[in-house]
Amino acid sequence: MTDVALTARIALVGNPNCGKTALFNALTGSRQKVANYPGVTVERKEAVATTPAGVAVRLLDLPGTYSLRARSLDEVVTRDIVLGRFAGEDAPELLVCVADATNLRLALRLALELKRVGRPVILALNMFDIARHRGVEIDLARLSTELGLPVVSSVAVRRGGTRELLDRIDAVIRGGELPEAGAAGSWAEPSAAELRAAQREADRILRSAVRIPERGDPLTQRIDRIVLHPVLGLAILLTLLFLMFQAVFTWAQVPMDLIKSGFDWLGRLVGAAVPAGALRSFLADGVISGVGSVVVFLPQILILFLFILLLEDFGYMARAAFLMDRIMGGAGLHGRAFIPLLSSFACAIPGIMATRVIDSRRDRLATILVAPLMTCSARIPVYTLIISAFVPARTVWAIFSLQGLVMFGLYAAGIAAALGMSWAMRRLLWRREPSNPFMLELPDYKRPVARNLALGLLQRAKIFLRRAGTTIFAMMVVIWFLCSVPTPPPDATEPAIEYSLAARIGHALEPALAPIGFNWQIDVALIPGMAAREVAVASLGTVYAVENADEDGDQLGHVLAGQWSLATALSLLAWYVFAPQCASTLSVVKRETGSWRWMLFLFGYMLALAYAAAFATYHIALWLGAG
Amino acid sequence: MPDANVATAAPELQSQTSRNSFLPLCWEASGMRSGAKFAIVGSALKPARGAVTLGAAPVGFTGHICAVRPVASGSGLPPQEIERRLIELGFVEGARIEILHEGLFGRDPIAVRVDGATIALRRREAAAIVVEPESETTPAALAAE
Repeated sequence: MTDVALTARIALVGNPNCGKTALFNALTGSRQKVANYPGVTVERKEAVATTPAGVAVRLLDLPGTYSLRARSLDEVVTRDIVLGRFAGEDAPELLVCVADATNLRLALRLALELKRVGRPVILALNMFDIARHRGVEIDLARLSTELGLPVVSSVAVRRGGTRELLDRIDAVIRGGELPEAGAAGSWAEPSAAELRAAQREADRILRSAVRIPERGDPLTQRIDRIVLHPVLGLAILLTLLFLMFQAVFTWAQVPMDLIKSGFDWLGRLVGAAVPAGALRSFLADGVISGVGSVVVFLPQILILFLFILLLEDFGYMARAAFLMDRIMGGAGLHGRAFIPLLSSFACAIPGIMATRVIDSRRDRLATILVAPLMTCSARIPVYTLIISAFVPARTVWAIFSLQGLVMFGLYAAGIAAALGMSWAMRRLLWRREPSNPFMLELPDYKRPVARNLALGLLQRAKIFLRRAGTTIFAMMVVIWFLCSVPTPPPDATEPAIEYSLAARIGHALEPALAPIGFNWQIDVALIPGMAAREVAVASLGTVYAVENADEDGDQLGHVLAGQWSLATALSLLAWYVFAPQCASTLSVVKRETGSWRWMLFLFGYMLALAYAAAFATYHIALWLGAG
Repeated sequence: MPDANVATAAPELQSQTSRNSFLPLCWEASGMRSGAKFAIVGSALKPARGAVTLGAAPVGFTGHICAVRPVASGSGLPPQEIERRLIELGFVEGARIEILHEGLFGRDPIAVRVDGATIALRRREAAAIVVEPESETTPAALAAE
């Protein structure tokens, strides 16, 4: 990673919601490397930027914090990197303290704390345009003198808005102010009295250099009167969630059809170019239809993330946590668990990673253990496939699609199970432990910036496609192999797949899963489904496509509708709400909880729930005549 | 179920409020430097009118912080840690306070304007903060509480 041409390592530090990531995006564009810090699942964002003087610098975007007195896992990362204590990371030579110019009070205290670390610090007053627009008058020279730090203004969302910061970085580098590489920073945990003194000093500096209008942002106050209204606010939150799920279903349709026909076209192309045989079967049935059946869900995943990113950038997520705190508290969850659980609707893995903002271990563990019950986007392929094959596309109550309602019901079942489980764990496992405080800043509303949304979505899409290209692709090859080997004897009477290894595994599992209505084809699909839930769809595609290799281009849904009873379909849906069908989630849980015990606990309880729910669904459906 | 916390917290809040009625909680800015030694309250200090804890104040309350004290809140953290976290979010003696919003169940949590920022917290932790109403806040508003 070390490059001699790079002269400085710069870390961006700042309060949550100060626009730090927007500034990072503005400085670096899309040339970011997103990874995890070794050993912890805190996201590490680094990029190289070039200053006006032509110096290449490495920029590191650190998790937001109010103080170096870290309270949660990601704040620990920030502190340890700033102080040069983080194993495997070089200490930054220059700190850029990013502050929201409209909300300087807490940021100035952080700047004073960073100054004491002993590295050069530049204070960047971000969102300077908004501050000026609101009538905040900042005397930059005075602020700089009082703080004893260089102060620049920045506007992350405007072209050239980072010029002043980059020039200042150049000046610091040219001035030879950078410390020796690897020098450790000095810092001691402040006492309450020292924190008070520091805040008083920050307040004094603020009074001397900044004139703030008496009232805060009027727009934020007007919106909050409605959005944080005790009753109306909850109604708005529920409406937003409902709209989000309807949108995932309706908006995604056109791009999904396009992707699907694209892959079909590719399959036909290969079919025409490659002579019939194992290779053609591998390419067309294994690779193209397998990967295609997963990639087709990219639009839905992106729409879901678009909503999450929009609400986050707008500043609504903290409000949602505020509104949900008491309700989630009733189920034994912390208000801050709302954001991780909402992210888990996209994927449990970022959701579980996002629990690091919860500082209490018990609250964090409870959230991790229920996060996989939230309906992640990998379940969407399975749900969509079965719903579109078995639930008629009708409109009910004038405006709702029946398929959308069933989908909503499945989501609701997951949420209910998550709340029920955390309530039960609270009662059974942590009876004596009191709950931790909930303290959260509600940032002023901000207009989301298209560029930041696009970058965020691009990163999500990359992660998903990388997964589709690696894990899922590998599983597709395995499942195709299992389904095609050994080849049927020349005098075969049954379809080819009946002779394969996959059939043998499926048949072996049959006795255990027959009581919940699964046939062996489903059992086969569940095995690669452990790699990633959505792979089950691809495997079903492979299993049935190979089986019906003669009927070219048949739609999987039609095949399933012909092969399964409604009871089996509903049972599989119920299974998928609860089943721990994701090896990556299990491994993340193991890493985040630091124990096999909690991972096995998670696996065990989810499996038990899934079996019980599928069993009940199947038998109730049979009893109602859906056999 | 959502009211369980309130039920346990309420007697504590009430006893604090009643103590507040005859103990001086706020004093002149010069005396505030020793904020951490709040527990030792000299009778020579000037008594404040109608000081209450932030946890017990109603929506619409405006005033200033007189003291942030280490108070056992019933959370898993030591009182001194809660105190420091409150300070880090800007709850420092002298800061202007306004309670903007509260939740539906148990009127909890609350959203508080602290000088320039808005902070959400539960009433249980807000009980560690003693506030003095602004002169225009009528005693009637507090009596309603």
